[in-house]
Amino acid sequence: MQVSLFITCLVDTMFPQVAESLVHLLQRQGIKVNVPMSQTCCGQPAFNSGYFEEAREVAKTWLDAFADSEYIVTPSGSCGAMVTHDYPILFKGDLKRLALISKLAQRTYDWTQFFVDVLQIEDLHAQANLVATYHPSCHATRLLGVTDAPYRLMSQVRGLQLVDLPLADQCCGFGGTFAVKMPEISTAMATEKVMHIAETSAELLLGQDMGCLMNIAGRMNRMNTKIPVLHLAEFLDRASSGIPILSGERRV
Amino acid sequence: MDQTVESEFLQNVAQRLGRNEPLRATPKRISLGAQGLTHSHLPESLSESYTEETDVAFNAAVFCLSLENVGGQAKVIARNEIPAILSDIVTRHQIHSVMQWKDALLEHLEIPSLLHDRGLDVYTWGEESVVSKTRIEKAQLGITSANYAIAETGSLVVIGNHDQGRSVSLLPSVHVAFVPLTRLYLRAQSVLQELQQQRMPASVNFITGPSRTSDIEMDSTIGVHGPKYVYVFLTDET
Amino acid sequence: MNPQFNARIKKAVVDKKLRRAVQVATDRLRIKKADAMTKIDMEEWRERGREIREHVVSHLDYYLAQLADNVRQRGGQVHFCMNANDAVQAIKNIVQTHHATKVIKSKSMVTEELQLNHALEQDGVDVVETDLGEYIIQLAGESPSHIIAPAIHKRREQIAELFSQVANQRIASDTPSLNDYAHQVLREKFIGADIGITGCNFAIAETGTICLFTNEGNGRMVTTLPDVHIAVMGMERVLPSLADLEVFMNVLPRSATGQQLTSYVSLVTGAREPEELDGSREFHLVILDNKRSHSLGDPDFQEVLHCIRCGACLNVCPVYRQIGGHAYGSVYSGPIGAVLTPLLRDDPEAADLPYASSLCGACYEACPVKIPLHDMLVKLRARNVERGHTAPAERFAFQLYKKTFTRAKNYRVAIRSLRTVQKWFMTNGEFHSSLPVLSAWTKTRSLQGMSSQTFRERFQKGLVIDQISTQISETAKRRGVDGSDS
Repeated sequence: MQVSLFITCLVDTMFPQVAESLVHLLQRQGIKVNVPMSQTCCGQPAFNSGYFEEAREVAKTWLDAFADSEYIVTPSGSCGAMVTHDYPILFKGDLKRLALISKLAQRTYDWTQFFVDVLQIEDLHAQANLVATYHPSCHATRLLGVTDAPYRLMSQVRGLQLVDLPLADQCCGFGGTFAVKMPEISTAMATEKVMHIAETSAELLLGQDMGCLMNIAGRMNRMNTKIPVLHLAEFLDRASSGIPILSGERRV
Repeated sequence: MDQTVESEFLQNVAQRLGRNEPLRATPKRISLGAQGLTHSHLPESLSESYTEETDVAFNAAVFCLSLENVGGQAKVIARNEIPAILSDIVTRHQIHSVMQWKDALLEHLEIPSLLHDRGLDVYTWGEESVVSKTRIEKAQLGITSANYAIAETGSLVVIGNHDQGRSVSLLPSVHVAFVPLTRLYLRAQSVLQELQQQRMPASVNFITGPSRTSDIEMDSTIGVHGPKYVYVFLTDET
Repeated sequence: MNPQFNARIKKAVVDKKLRRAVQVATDRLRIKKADAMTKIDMEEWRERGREIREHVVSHLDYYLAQLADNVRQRGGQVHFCMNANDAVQAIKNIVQTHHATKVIKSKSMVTEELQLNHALEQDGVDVVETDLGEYIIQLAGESPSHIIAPAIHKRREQIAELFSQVANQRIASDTPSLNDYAHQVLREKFIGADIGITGCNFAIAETGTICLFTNEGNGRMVTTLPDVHIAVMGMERVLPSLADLEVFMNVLPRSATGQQLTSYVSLVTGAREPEELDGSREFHLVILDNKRSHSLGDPDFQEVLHCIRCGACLNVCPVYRQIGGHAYGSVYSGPIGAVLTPLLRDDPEAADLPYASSLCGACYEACPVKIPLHDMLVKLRARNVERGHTAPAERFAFQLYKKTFTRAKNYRVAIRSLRTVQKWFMTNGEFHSSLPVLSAWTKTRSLQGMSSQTFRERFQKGLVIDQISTQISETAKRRGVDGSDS
């Protein structure tokens, strides 16, 4: 089994440790990880802004990079959904590419889905004695259908107490270009999300998409709410390899 | 109505849909209404208690609970309970003026004479050829016998006609309906099917509990325009 | 009625034990939790709802003609109106014919689209909204901020203030007092009105019936007491048959208010029968296009006409939650408003509405007829780009984006240069909050810079090797990492 890592541009440039953790987790299962170096971005920023022509060109780069991949695994449900949900809209009428997209869409997984559904592994032998809460990202949940996989992985972590996040399924206000195009609304949404996180007794916020987590953490900093934020892959990597979770260097 | 406006309107719709002229043949359906869909989890989830012999009792029980859930009251009654029931409602709501359907079941149950005996001001719909708005406005209690009842939702179905004024179940603040168990169905589907088999009445109303609103700070409250209180008495009399 | 069923009933009702049986069944139901009765498999019903709406909309010419024929068969008059102006004129004509001075209305979004109240008031007609929420905002001189709960933005104290002014006396702000006052005032209006105007939740083509789902009972009042009833509908609100109505009786109230069924579902077919003593004597159906047909036959947007105006997408929308309905500046707000408005109204303000969404998809998830609103929002943005309605700076930015991200080499170069310059704009690893463009983010949210090395740089240098796996298995290590550049 060979896995091609769909890094996503945000993780590549700003949060490389998340992709690194994911590689670790995959390697620990004896999986060969391949990183197509011609990948850049999936095209989502342009697509969501309505620049379909620009998005298509960038998407072609992605399609070329992953054309022969056996499994495509990503740490971002949103970028995954761009391929499975948005590419068919973007390439409407382009039958040749639609066939490729349909093939690749079936091979594209949010990494939690890949572990739970494909590898059928839920126990990553992790331990973390702390109280955490979890923000399920909208695109992963609603467009990619990632529902219980993250929870299954978390439920196997020894010592972890997961507390419910009020109105968890409500968007954090990131929305890609929305965050800068409609900053007031986006900020109001992020503020509410932070308040809900603060209402819990959690010592840590977990999530599955760095866009959302960057937005939430950025807002937390300005609201002086000091709750650490981690991507689930990084958390599980740390928790299964003895790296301290709440201390040491963290980048969000 | 200007025929040209209408045909231009429909022509435009047809053209937008890619047709040269409006479709005249009945289009094929892949599904019809709720056919084949699973309804509420009843009676399947109670299959051990749901048998053909007891289904009337079962439906009645479902009706009573459903109506209770939406703030109405329902009960299966015996004929000899009626005087006490009416007396109780009249006293509780301080009724002095009543409006009722002219209805065979109500007469059979001797409702009109029970009301007269209590010295109430009774207006019977259909007995006068013109209805005075001020007269019907006065009534505090409306008595009907529904055309159908639906167990699953606790609904009454009332049809307007000469003897069954639409206003009787609408204007008074208390609505009392006596409904024969033979008119009780489990689901709306059966009622809609019956309506399809006849000339559609001009007015059919599904009434499910009291009038309500949540328009003030989403605070749910009963009785803004229609009746505040809905009582349904199911009876084995017909 | 099915004769076998009838026979079973007859057999059961003679059973002296019937009432006891009812008690037993009731007790069992209570134990089994009565709320099971209210639950349906919503997914299955949504899909059917979608199917029916798709069928109707794609055969709208047939069903509208059938509807009109059946309404006329029952003595009703049908007015097809291409635009708002025509519809207002048609209604004004009816009002004038009857020398009507008092009009009562039950809630109707489509008449908001016509700005009908204003038009009638200009002719000296007294128009009164009778839905409690609509009455409140009419007194306040505002427009509805929600499809289902028009006065959702008003606090009870404000409502008490409005009522007190009209009543010329102090009305308390508790719900029962406010409710009682509205009941009393509006009851007089119902009794004295000449014409009743309603919207139309659904129109049944096979019978010529219009269906109104209401909770307060004002819809029934408006169709029962005045001599003339005018129903106004958007042309897409058709259902083929009464059998189809059952599906929407199940999904509309659940999606709109979470009720199993609204207090009233009124089916009105033409004017009253000759022998009836109440009900309207004259029935008019106004069918409005108003640019709805522009979406017909458009594969990207036809589905917007499937909408049944339940308001579920507003209730789940995180943007609506923050800004409320009035901020949209249109009759229809929330996700459906952000899609529908630019399709019905071709102006720059409307064209901006599709940006008021984070594309979280909650609207699609909640929609009882599965309209892909989140996709349509993106397609409307694309339409703006196609039409050249977006800012030159933005167009330039995405040109640059395309150049950078279509080749891995350009991407690597861009990252390296940005990494070099970013430190000039940062303090303590965070961007300054006052930078142009970036400040849209940084004013309210901290933003750290790019990492000193990208993931791919580390990976290529062989730095991404899991220590644990290395220890566990030498074989795993050999098989493990395989970077490939292209």
